Amino acid sequence: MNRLRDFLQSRIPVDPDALRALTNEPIPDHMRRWWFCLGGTPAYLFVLQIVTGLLLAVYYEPSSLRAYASVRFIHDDVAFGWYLRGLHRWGATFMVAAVVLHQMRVFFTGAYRRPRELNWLVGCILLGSTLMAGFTGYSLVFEQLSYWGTTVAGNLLGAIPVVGEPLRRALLAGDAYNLHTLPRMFVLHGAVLPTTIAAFVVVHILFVRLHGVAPLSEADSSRRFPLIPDHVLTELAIGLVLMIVLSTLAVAFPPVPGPPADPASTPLVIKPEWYFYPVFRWLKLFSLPVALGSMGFAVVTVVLWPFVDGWIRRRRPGSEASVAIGAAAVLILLALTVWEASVAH
Amino acid sequence: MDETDETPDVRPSGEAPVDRSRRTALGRIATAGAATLVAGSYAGFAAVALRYLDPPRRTPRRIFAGRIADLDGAGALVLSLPGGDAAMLVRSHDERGVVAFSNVCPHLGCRVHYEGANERFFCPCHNGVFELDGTAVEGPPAKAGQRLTEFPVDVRDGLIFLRLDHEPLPTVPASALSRRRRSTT
Repeated sequence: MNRLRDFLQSRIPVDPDALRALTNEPIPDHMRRWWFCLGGTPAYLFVLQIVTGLLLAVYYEPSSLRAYASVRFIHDDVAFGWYLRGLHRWGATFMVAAVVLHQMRVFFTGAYRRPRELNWLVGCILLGSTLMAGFTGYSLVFEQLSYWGTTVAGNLLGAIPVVGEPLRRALLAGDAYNLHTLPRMFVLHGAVLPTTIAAFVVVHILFVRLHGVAPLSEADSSRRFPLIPDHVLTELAIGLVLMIVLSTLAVAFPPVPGPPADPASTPLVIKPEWYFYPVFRWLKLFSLPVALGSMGFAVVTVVLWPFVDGWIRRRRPGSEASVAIGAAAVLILLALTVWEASVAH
Repeated sequence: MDETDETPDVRPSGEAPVDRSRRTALGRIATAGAATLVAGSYAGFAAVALRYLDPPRRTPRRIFAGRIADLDGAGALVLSLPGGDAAMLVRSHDERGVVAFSNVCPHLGCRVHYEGANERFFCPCHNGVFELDGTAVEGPPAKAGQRLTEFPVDVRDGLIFLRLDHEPLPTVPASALSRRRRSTT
């Protein structure tokens, strides 16, 4: 054992004490409560998505001729295929939920405030990439929802002024869904987005390490506990609970593929994944330019919120307007989601 | 994970003193139990993944290969299978009546030809020669004691059926490709 350690230490010239000091971050005491650990949850789920995604890609065939049949093959014929697909699908749902909850926690505790504004931007990139991964993911099944979801998203992109049309052509590989569309969805979902997420997760964690975890209050900042092993064990326990919950969901509600894509007919009842419900309902409420303009405004506001909030607080020191604005935004999103979920059209 | 010396104790100093030894022992048992649970769960997942990576076996498919009467006239029937392989059907002198061999040479994978005049199979790559029962009698395959792979055959009412236990590799026939090329030029 000692010889192995000597062997490694002479070949990897890193001082173990320095490494421990570098990685073993002191964690503020409020992180003993699991709901403050929601940042680690999407990271854990991301690893799960990579593992199950690689396994699914072993049998998946990204062509409009074979995609649906290969998904059915995974679901119906391959041993445990339905289970791994279930984990991947439920993992995606949980990952979106975990990222959103983490972002809400950061928002309502003001953890994005100076000097952590840039990490909020990184977080927004991660949220956007996660939503994109969800969207491109269900487009790969090549069921009705996949085809019509991609078509609608392409046309939505196309309606954005100036940059819309090139973006639409880039996404659809042409004017409309064609032979080359599905392979690029596969490349986005299986290569571009995972590498983007992985790279920004590294930046995100680096920022957390550089600034330290944002203290919840003055008293809180004095009480700290070590990352290793205390916090790692908390994350491990959360990981196990997640695996149990996801396994249960995958067994109880395996995602059965819907009817195969039919470019000739849009189904009478069609809905995206739940995390696009607010957008979907918004598009039904307003004309395309109004809906698109307001959504664009909302997205830009969310992304730039640390700076907007900084501006407000310079004008009115100690202002907690962000809590009221955030609560209103969450209520609107919830209302739109519930509305969309409770009606057929 | 020995918390008495390894980890810096950053807890506030005002806490009441506790029975360190009992707490450490209990902590170790709990940690070992938790570690076993974690390792077991992920080992179970790894087992599932390994099983998943082994694709399901297809149920054997029977395909119509030809008629005994045709075989008697020709000496051998060569049947192209989807994916490029071929089955060579010949009369056998045992109770089976008909046997079918793959035309893939067991030596290095070239395609074996049926030579009617010599009543043998011949591999042009390294001069392998096979008898009509599939046994190699000359060349490298004979030295290695190899045989041609045999396909199971069913004969019913003079009709020959081949049983395939593997899924043939779907490919686009070259003819279809060149036709498309011609049509675009």
